[in-house]
Amino acid sequence: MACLGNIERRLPGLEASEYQITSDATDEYNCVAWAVGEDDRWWSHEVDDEYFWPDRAPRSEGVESYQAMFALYGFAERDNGDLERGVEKIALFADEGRFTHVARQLDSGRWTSKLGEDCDIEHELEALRSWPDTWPRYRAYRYGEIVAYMQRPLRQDARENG
Amino acid sequence: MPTDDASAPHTATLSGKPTTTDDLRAEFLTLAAQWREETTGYSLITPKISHPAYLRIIGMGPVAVPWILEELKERGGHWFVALRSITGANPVLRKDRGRIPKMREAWLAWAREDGWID
Repeated sequence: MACLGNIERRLPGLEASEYQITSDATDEYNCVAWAVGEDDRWWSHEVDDEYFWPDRAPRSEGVESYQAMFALYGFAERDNGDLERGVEKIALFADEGRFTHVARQLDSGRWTSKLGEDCDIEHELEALRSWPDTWPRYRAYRYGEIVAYMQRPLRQDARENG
Repeated sequence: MPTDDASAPHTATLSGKPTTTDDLRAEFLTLAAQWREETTGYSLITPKISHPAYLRIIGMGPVAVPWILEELKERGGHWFVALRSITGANPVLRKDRGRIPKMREAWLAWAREDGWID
């Protein structure tokens, strides 16, 4: 399995942490799809008529809009990312108030992320937070801070609510 | 139908200078590589389609369409907004929104039918 680029250069927090690459790079799904449990569709609130977005979900980059969208798939707000039996948690990242990324917790307590069009990784949650000088030429991979946690009962299937 | 033949000498104006098709092709490849390098990791579409390299490629107009289609076929990537912006077409069925292989197939089939590629 291989990533397209040097993900440690783009996400410096990974270098000092333990992580594993768990898939090859693919443009067929993104972190939002992966959080909900899909691996064959790219979700985007941004471009109508191009990408998938649930019809009943708000179309905004604000974290609240993403929380409302995830609520359609059974997730409810939670105040921490601690491992708990029987529930599946997600952690939402935002940069300057704009949603940037979502990671999903695994049974082990570690987290799994789809890195855009790049690979999936299993990682420590904090390792994806932005460093001040992350990728200064352009803001790709600048995930910002963890701003919200949500959870749903484990093994609830993702259902399209559109 | 395409209005430009990418294999023929072509004159355009980028950065205020006359440019040949070969020059534009070289610039396209540089911009495409830069765009991939700098936006591959992003899950949102806006940073991809607002990246300066992506916008410059859209600004090349119809001459870039065969090159974009080649990139799409060989390396994938989110070229759909650029293709739609330049050509005005959108051959992706609503049920296939976000299904990247189907979106790619739809655009390549449309391009063959419309004479952009063989």
